Amino acid sequence: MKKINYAVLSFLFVIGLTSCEKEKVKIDYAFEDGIFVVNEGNWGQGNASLSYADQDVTKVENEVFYNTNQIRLGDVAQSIGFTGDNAYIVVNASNKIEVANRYTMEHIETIAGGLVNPRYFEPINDYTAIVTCWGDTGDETDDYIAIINTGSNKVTGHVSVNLGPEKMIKNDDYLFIAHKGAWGTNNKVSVYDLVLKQITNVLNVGDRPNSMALTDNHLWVLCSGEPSWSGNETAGQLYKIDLNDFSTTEVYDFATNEHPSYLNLDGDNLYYYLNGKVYQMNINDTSLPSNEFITYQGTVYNMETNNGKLYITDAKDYVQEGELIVFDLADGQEKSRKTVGIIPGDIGFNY
Amino acid sequence: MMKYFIIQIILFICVSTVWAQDKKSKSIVLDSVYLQAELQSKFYYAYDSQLLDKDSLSLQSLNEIIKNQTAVFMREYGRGMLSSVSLRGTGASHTQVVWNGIPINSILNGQTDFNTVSANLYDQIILKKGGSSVDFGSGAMGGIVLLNDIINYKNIPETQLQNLYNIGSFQSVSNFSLLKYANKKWYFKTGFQLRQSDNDYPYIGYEFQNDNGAYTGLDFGIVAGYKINRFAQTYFKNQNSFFDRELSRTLYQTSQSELITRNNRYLWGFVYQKDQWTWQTDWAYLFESYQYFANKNTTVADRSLSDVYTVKNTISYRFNHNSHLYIKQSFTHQQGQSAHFDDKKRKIWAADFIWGQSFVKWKYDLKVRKEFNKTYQIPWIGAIETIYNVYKNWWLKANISKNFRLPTFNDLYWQPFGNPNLKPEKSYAVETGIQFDNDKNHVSFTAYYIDSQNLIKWTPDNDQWWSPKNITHACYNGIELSVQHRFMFTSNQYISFKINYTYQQATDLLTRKQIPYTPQHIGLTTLEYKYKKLKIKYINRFTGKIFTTSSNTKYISAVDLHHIVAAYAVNNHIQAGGSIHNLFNTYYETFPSRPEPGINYNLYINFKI
Repeated sequence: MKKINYAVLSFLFVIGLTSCEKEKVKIDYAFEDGIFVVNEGNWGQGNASLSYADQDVTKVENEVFYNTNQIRLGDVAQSIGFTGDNAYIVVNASNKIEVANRYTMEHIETIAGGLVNPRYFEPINDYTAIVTCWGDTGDETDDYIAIINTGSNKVTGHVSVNLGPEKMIKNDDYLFIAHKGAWGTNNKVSVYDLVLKQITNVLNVGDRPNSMALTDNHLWVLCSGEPSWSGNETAGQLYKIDLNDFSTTEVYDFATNEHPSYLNLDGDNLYYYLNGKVYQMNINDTSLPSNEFITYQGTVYNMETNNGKLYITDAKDYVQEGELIVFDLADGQEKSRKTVGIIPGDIGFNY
Repeated sequence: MMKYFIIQIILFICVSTVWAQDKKSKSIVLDSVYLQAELQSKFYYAYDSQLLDKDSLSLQSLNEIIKNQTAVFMREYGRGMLSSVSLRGTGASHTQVVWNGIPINSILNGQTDFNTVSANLYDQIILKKGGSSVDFGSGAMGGIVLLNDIINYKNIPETQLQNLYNIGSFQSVSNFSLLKYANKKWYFKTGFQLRQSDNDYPYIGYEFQNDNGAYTGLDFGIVAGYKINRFAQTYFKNQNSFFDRELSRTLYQTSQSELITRNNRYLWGFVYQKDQWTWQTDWAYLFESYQYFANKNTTVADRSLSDVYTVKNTISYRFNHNSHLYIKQSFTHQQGQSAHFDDKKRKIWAADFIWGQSFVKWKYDLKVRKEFNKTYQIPWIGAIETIYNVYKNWWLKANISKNFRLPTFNDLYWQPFGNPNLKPEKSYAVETGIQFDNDKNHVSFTAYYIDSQNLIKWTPDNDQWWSPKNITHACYNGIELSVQHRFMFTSNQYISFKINYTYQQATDLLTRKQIPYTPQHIGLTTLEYKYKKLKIKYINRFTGKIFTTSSNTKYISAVDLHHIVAAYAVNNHIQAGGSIHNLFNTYYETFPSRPEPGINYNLYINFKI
């Protein structure tokens, strides 16, 4: 009896050991297969944070950057980007980028010089990335994109651009930069030629272009239009631009009081958000959808699709932890929601 | 006669509400300051009020004075930076600061910045908790802070000169000069103060310092009084301040910004008193301007300014020894403009009626106020205040009041998000307390409840643009305890201790959570030892944890601070002293990622002729 006991015990012990080991392996690559949520935090309070969730949002770990490094991320974390093994977390009000291993979140270094109001990070090749920067928000002429050497993690150059560069999207030849307008307003998309390494075209689009999507031959630009408080309200617009000659193929107009945002592409469908509703539009459709795909009540702060799923971040009242919600694009049903950090915004897909 | 005279002066200056029925004969033998204090507390007899001590000469701003003497929470964006008071858990714009009877909170943002107010200039500073809209109109929902200049004629002409020089850590220097002259017919006072600091204190536990926090402040004031005859007197008061400061960085954000604040205040008044009648008229003009530089190296500034004109008339009649009637009427014209809105105006007309009676063991006051304005429906407000002598030196106090706050110009007109359709906030407050006083002891215990509705809050809409709305319904309740005792060893040696404790709940009734940035526990313990010409005071201040999220999940940790203040009177003319603040070099903040300084020192020398 005793022997059996010992056998069982030792067996359990071995299992215990192996599982421990497995755990350990897993810890090494703790952040390999899921999504990061960048929580902006409140301006001036330095309470930005990073959350990590699996793709189905069944489990969330908050404060992963702080927990791994015992370093606070800083003031207003704006976005996250990846290149090679590294994650780049852009911290807007702290004027810096925190570089960490994308799988372990171990801090590598801080890029601090040459960044004034940095917004988004986009790698353009193995050793270079571009960061949109507003410069001094009181100066509407000092906006630029910073060129970053991702080997040395230094800002190596900068190119002046139009007011308010924000989100970027790229294909093999070009990087497109949407100029939402920072604290002012703008209606441009800059085209940065990846070979010539300069801006070769500036496209006119609707007011406040806030998000973009790329299909084989087209760039889609969603413009929210001027809000009602501006005193000069304009309709939201969806621009479809031909990638061969940058001519406007089609403009889809919303109603004057409609200001859509968060354009995403998943498969052949475009998704955007408008007044508490998510709309789905096939890229071959000839008009804007009239019926919503998903209804969502809350303080939507960002929406992104990936791999057949749609993610919404909800900032609630902005002074408490927000939520990450995932919907299945197959049926439009909410699958899960979890509490993340304060003012959850950008989402980084780490797979 | 003297006593009666002082009563009269204070009444006129403080826009009091009750005829002091000073029945205690001992007051006569006390010096005039003490007498005034006692009387002042009688005007707010039904409330928890406190005369703040101005003897701590190393304390300069109103923020420091309140922090070191009361268990009241002061919000501060770092040393010398924007600072506001939170009375009974209410917001920064729910405490009205009153300068010689005139409310001075900014009409643009509804607040007074307590670090810009230099305490030395005033003769008397009183903190009164509890609703006070019925006395001072908009804003006084949590309480009031009174800054008073007291006109004191002297039968024998008297000249007083004072110069107070302070030097402290972080290259801090200040100099205050005062000249006073009084005779039978004239009173004159002028004060001038310069405050300056590099304010570059190191952040404890970090490699950097408060590198954009320097400030310079200039204050200048004049008070003049003239007794025309036995019945009439006239006075003029003026106070000016200029405060130029860089705005501190945070732990995670550098700063290059700068704020220049300017205030000019003028008051002219006339009082006529004969027999049972009193008539008083006050004419005031207040000017304020803010210049905010996002980048101090440029000349690009956001400028806002306001002008406020007030005319106030009070007629009172004393029917007999125990009842009185007051009728007050005032007209205020407010005008403001900023980089975010054009010239806006607001006119308010107000009328007050006060009826009160005093008996041997109790007294009461009934107050009603109505304000009229073209744009808003301002509710009728009122208060019932009473005190009852339960047994010997034990007094039972109670008051109930209705209060309100008008939306500020920023709330209404800020382009593009201001909301011109805002309504006034309103609140109901009830308070009861028991108080015991004798020569060596003071005990008071107060419990209160405030229900505030239509509170204005800036909230984001669907498109993430923030605008103000009347959406919050909150309740504030708590208790305040104060115990003081003095052990007299000999006539010139004593130890006294004072314990103040505040427990306050500020609940958002929608979420049922504590409103962020409001601690629940505040404690202040002071121990004072006096031996002949030496006085040493030990101050311990405890602030409980402060929630920073509406879900009450994150907070600033509780902190315990210790200070030592010492003063030595070299002779009748020279006093020297100093203080050590934050004795144990504790890291603390009242606002997230805005550290306050560690251990720091201050020395002063005060000449008085």
